[in-house]
Amino acid sequence: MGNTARIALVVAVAGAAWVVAYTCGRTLSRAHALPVQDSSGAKAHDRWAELVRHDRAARPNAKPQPHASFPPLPDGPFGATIDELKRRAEAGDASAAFALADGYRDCAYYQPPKDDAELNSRVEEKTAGSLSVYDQVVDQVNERAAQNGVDPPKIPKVDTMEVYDEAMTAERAHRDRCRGVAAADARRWREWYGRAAALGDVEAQVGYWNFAFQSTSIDSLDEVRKEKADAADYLDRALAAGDARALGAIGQVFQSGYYDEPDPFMAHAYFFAASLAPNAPIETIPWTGTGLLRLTSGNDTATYYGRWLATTASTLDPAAIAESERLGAALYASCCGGAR
Amino acid sequence: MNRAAGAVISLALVALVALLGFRQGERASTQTSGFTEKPLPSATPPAAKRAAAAHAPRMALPDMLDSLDGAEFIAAMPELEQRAREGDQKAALLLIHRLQDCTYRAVEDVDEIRRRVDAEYAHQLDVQKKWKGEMPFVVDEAWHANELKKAFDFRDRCLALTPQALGRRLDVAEIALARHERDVVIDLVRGSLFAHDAERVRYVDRLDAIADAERTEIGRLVEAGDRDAMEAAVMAYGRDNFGVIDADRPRAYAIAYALSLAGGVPQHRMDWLLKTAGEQLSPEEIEAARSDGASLYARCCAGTLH
Repeated sequence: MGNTARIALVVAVAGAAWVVAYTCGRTLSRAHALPVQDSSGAKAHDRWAELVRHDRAARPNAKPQPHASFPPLPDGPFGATIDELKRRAEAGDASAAFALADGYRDCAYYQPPKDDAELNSRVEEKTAGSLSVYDQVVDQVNERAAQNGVDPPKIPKVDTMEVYDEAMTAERAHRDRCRGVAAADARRWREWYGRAAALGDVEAQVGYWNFAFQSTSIDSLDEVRKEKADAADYLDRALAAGDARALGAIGQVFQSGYYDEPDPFMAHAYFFAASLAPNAPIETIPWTGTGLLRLTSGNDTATYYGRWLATTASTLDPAAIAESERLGAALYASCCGGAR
Repeated sequence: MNRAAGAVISLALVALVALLGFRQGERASTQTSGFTEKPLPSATPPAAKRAAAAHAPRMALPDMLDSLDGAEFIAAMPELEQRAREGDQKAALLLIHRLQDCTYRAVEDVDEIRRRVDAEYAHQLDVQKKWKGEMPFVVDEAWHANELKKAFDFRDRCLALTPQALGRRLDVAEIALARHERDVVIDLVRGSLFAHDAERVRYVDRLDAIADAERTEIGRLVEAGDRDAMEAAVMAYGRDNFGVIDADRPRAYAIAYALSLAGGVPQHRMDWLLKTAGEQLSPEEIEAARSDGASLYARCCAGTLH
């Protein structure tokens, strides 16, 4: 064998060795990059922190409140417990502050019926409204089935009297809850929501951003700045407490672009992270709304996050989706204690 | 000996190349997974891209900038932004108006558009019936279809603008305010620039700075007795949720009063401005605002005709 042939052979063998080693190195490196250790997770936290650092700096006095133990909340209709709840909220009871926010919100736009006749008339209207919505939904389901050339599913009939009784029970309960509640106080329920979040109520911390940002079009810029800083602080605190809903909330924040331009990559990562938490009823997410709004959110968190992941994924290429989901897995692991 | 040495060298070479390959493979994997060495795929365009756009070859635009349709406008944006930076107030105003309009249109749902156009169609049919054939155009199914098409086309063009592009109207406003450009200042104070929902949260600090600059610039024009600026200031300070300036009704009334002393505004318009500015003021506040207005008149407008 001549020298040229020998050199060519060595180069060929070395090249093959390079390819094999490159592949091994890459595979081994990936195998070591488990989500918990992955630097991408830490970086994602940095990205969120980077976005909100300025806003947090606007409230230097914000410090987590020490957790104190309080007795269970008082029993009875909301209107009858307001004084006790206020006393306890003033003493630092976060649950009492949240109960005030929740109760006031429930009564903010409630007009009590003047007499039984008005109560009956209101319940009849609500019953008719519910049945009308039911009819519309049935029509739409049938129409969609016809469009798709399939038999419509069997939808159970509703009993009118049953709907009426449920509406009556709900209306009476609402009247009882809101008896003695001043409308002007009730319409300031957001203030109690913010106080509950500041006192450490994680439910309020997770939902504050949504309620605060709903009113920014009419709030002054100074108020908006404070709400923005508070919302960031509360989400960080909920995240630090290991509440996976904070991941979903941050996903929404990235999706809507509250702290920077909308960022589908980060939104996807956070939605994916939130989707790794155990499935739960949709009512556990404070920002999804009630009633017909549930038609868009679904009945559980898995459906809800699945829909959002489909939305964000539609704007990303497959490589970005994979990368974003790896990041999401790391985020979930670092927030909420590993894979399910 | 030579053969053995050659074999050893060959093996060492192969091992070295393999080691380099392994390291390279490791590094490539890290770069793919990590965010320290690779920027996040983000909706935010790199600043360099914007800078490059600013230095793109100049583009010929029609004399009547308003005649640019949606697609032409998007193509012309870099040139319009360049002109706005150089002090072309028409270009600045066109950018602000079109981008502002699209902040709503880009999020308008298909059903919302249909409902809006249907409602307008029903209204125009009513008007047509009342005018009994005196309408300058015929409202019929073809009109309705054409309006729908225009609305959907408009939405499509707005959808072609990214949130970043829509946000660039703030850049244009900031530049015009810094350059003390009268027409743009007055237009901004009249409420042509505003933010809603997420934008108001996202840009809160910039909006605050813009509001400060608007107050300073319009104040300067008001002190100089500019009638258009005075009217714009009365509107901005006299109403809630109007543009980015917060209401300041005593100030609105003082300026309106100075304007009424200066003259030059039709009486019915002047009455309306004073009424709007004074709506939520007590008699004492109105009295104080009149005194301020008289002082302002003495400074800005006594003996002048603008």
